[in-house]
Amino acid sequence: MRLSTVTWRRFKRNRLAFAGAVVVLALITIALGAPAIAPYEPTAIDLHNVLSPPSAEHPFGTDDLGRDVLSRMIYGSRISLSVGFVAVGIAISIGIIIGSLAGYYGGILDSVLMRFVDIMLTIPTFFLMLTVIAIVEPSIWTIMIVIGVTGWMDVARLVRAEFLTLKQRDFVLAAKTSGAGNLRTIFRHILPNALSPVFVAATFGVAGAILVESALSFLGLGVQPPNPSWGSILTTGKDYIEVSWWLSLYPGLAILITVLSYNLVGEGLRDALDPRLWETEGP
Amino acid sequence: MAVEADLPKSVSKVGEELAEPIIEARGLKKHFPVKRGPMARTEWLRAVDGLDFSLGRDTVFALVGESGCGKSTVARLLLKLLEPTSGEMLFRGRDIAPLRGDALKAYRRAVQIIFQDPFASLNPRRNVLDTLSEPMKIHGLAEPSQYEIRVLELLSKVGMGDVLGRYPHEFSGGQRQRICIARALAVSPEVIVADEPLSALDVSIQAQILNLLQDLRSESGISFIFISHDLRVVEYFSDEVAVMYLGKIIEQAPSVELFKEPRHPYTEVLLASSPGLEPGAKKRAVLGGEVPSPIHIPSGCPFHPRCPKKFSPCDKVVPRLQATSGRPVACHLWNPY
Repeated sequence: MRLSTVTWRRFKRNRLAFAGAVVVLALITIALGAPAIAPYEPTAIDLHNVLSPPSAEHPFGTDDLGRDVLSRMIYGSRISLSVGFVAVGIAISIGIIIGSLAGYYGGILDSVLMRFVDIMLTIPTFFLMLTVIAIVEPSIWTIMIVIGVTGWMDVARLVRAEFLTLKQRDFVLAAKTSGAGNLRTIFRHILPNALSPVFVAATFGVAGAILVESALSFLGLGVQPPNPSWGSILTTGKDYIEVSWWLSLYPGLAILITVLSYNLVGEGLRDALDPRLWETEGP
Repeated sequence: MAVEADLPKSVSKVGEELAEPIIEARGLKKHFPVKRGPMARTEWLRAVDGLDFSLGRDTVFALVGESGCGKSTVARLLLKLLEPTSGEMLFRGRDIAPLRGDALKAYRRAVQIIFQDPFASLNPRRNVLDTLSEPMKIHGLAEPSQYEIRVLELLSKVGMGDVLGRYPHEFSGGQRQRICIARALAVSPEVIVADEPLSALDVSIQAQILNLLQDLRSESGISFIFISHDLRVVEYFSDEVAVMYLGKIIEQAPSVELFKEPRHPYTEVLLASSPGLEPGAKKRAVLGGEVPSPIHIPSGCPFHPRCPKKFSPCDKVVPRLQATSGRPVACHLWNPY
């Protein structure tokens, strides 16, 4: 039985994490199937139905231009999820490369790379993003790249720490004495065993990236109108919060539930992947 | 160091009888820097401190000592997982220190290791087939289509059946150690370094693994460097025994002689303190105190603070490993000082 099977078994036992995973999967399905699921075009303006409260026709109401909030949120989930995944993908790629090099080769390379990490960590990320987006044209791609490029340091540190312990482990030494070169040792023996904490960090990272994207869109620096994003719906909502509560409540809840679900999945993964518990699991 | 031991070139009788030793250590030293805090002076941990030995063809050479005496460091030096501070490790008369690339690969085909902890020495994410076919893949020892057959052969050599698709966490410690032995055998090595291969196992399993090693030895003619703190096991398995204390060999002899008549006081106490199986055996001698820190090795004979037989020169003059009495012993009781 593979380790992943054991991990899955242990993950399932954690009900909250399992619930989180169900929500995450549902959100992914919604995002992928948005055109089929959404009852209206997300950008279709209907000036006869401006700011109408939730009804059978518009379950989550309409916004100031009469656009269906539910449809906009369904399309908005595409933005949130893709920003989350792509940004975290960029972050963990950079983090794994830098962390692996530093941890495996050590010495001067390690010192240089880790000082670079320290420098990156002194920069207040959110303001760096604001600066970059002020210079470059804001788009979903800029956001993804900026979040990714400013978010890899924790992953690099995690991977480096894993490499430092793993490269002294007997099975890695045994691989070397079997004649394995550096590349084989890194990719076959160290990296696969170093990834568990990276998965956990990545899951939390997706939650963080979704929040950052919402915040940027809320400030008008993220996804540009008329394209919908949870953050930008929320911005409209704040102007009408006294008359149209649904404009703020539903996207706010969506962000809350999504971020909470990812965090629950992350915690469940962390427990399920805990190597200290591997050995106790019988065949 | 005030007095430096000038050790003889080769002290192994077995090594001299059989024409050429496979592996030979000459003045081997490994010192690790220890720094406590950025302002502190660098101290040196002398894990291996001048070691000479040689391993002949088809022999079992045992290195014995308490934990912390540098045994495992010797194993890592042998496998070129560590570089010596000074001295040489010779393989077929050639220093292994400069080996790189293909030459290193060839050396690693000839010398294999079995580690102490079978739970740490298998990659948890690779199944038995992956683990055991990897050495064949690296050294090009078989066609990919032959991997399964070859791995099954290896498994049967170590007394296991078809477990190709199973993962390390599904096995017990003894089974894992068998898989580790199979991995060492996969390249048909000339020498296997066994670094305490039994000490992490239950006593009943220890006997099985020891029998397995014994069988392999008689079938394949592989030489072993057997590192252990358990003298009973060593007595059963080895031809030549070297007793280590704080990074140095303090006595070396053919196994039979050493167990019949230990000469160094440390060997004596070590033998006497090893729990025998005979009922009613006389009360065990107990070695007082702990092994001193290899950072602050005592002056003179490193063993003198714990030695029951110490006398005037012991805390001043470093005893040399000399064969004045017919067998190499590093003790003033046996050698003139």
